Amino acid sequence: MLILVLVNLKKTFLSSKKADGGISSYKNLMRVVSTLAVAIITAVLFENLGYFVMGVFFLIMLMKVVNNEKWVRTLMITVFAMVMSYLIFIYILDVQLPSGPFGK
Amino acid sequence: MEMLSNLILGFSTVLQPTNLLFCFLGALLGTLTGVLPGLGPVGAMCMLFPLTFKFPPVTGLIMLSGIYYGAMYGGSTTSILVNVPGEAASVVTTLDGYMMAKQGFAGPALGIAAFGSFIAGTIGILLLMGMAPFLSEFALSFGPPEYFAVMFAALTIITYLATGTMMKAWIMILFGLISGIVGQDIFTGEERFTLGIPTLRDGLGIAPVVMGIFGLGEIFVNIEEKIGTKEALTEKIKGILPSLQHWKESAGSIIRGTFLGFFLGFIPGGGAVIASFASYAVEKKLSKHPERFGKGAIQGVAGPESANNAATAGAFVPLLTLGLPSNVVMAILVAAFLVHGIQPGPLLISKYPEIFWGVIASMYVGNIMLLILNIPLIPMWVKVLKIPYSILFPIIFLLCFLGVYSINFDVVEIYIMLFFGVIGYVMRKCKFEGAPFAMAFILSRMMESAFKQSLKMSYGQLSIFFERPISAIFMIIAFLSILSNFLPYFTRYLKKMKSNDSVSLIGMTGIAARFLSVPSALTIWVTSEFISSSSRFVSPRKTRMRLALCRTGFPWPPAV
Repeated sequence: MLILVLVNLKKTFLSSKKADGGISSYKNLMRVVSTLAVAIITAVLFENLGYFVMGVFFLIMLMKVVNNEKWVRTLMITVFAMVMSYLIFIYILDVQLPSGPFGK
Repeated sequence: MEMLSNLILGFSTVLQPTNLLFCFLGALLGTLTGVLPGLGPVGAMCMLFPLTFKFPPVTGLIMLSGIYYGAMYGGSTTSILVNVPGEAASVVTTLDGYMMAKQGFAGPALGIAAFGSFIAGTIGILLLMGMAPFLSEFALSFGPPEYFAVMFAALTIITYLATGTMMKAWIMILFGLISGIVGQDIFTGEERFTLGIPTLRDGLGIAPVVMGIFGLGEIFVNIEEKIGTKEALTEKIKGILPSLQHWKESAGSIIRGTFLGFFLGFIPGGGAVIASFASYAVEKKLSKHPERFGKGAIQGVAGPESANNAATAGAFVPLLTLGLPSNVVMAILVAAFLVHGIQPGPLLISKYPEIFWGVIASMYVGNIMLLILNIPLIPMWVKVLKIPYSILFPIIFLLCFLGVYSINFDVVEIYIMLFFGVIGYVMRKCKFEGAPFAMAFILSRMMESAFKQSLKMSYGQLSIFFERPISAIFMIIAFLSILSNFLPYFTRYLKKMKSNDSVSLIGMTGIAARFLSVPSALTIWVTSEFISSSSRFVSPRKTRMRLALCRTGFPWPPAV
């Protein structure tokens, strides 16, 4: 059964590849991979370095490295998102997010 | 009279200031998620799921359901104005709605969509109110065998409604069932597929998995393909109120869409998306001028928009009466119920009337709010659409991240979300659908316990599912729908037989493989459950085999 499923998966994977004209370009794929990498790094260090540090790191990395936004815009959005998430999660919900060595 | 007093109870619950505020908030956020492409109601509800821990159950449920029907409204706005469907249920609306907007009828199109949604929502709620008490009385006679049969039939029907090939849907269902059984066995406490990770003992959580598959999967695809927001219509929208002519043309469509949508909402895996497509097809068929469809026919906006709103009300019926979710959004609501220790099901009405009637009354209030909210705020929603995705997705991602973390304060949940995010991305790339996976994943646990309870009742006899009339009917439906999967192959095979006498061997093996794989997958799952639940059937040889398997470290099947 498992083999059948795998064979079918492989078949559909190959056929979809053909239909899409191959997996889209390397650069676009790299954007996904780097986003994932940033997310994994953030998850690993989340409890050690705390929410503030990792949140800022996460947002800046995603906007700057993955998408190459302008610095001003990146910083503005980062501040906005951090304030918003602080309000929702810590102020309203009382969630104990890890504060890390530089927290409060 | 009883209905009236119940309704008064419901309204008195909703009209408490906090509930009213969160009803409004839910509807507003729902509209926002409906407007934003790449963030559907599922993702938004998952993100706000932790909010429900903090509030009393009614408030949380009111907000979550507000997000669901709010998204239906919001989706129509952007499909009509800018040809960007914010969520899947309003894809059809782009066909005629955008054409109407191009011809300068954006106002009437938006108006009829909003009013149609409102009318459909109201009728849908009335139907829900009328039917739910009777159905839940009927559902009280359901035992575990009936529940298992209903869920089994539901999973087989889902394959019909999936857009990809059926084989893909079956693969997704299997994958969902397997993911669902991770964690401790409910009856024996045995660990399955936990890999020694403590978090996995409780099983994979609904929120991280669903958020990964639907939320992150979508984000990854969007990052790769990077949808550029299209130019919004710059001309001013005038005359929101549809003229009498428009009303006359679309009244029938709204009513038809409402009833069609409501009953399609019941069907597992169907819901709003199927309802809107079906309604469009019906309208096109019934219309005297089918050639006008696709060129700005108002019926093509009114029908589907009513249908998808009615379907949201319809989807609540199986949830509130049987406790079974008919789509992913409903599954999140089940999770929200369970967080507070409330089991949705036939006893909900008598045990927690304020929740049942409160949620229903909130849908009335929410629909009125949306009608008032939607029309003046349309310019604002169009502006929201102009936010580029590259700065939107980090924020969505961060909220997913924190939302999942705050459920259990456990980083492992984030890893699970990322893992399923990658799976969701690959699934989308290979044209697999998420809905069958999610349904199977959610039903897996419930199915397992219903199955084992039934076998305990019957002392291990599988015939129990066919001896009880209701479960027998559902089992027959299930097997018929499995068998009908193979009809196309048969007809093709027969055609080949007629056209040339030499039937290729490869074609035959293909048919045989398809024939064998699906039932065998199901039988393997069922028998393994069967073996593990009834130990008196285990022969010494089987026990030896199991022990040998266990020694190799393979976690399945669990030792008896």
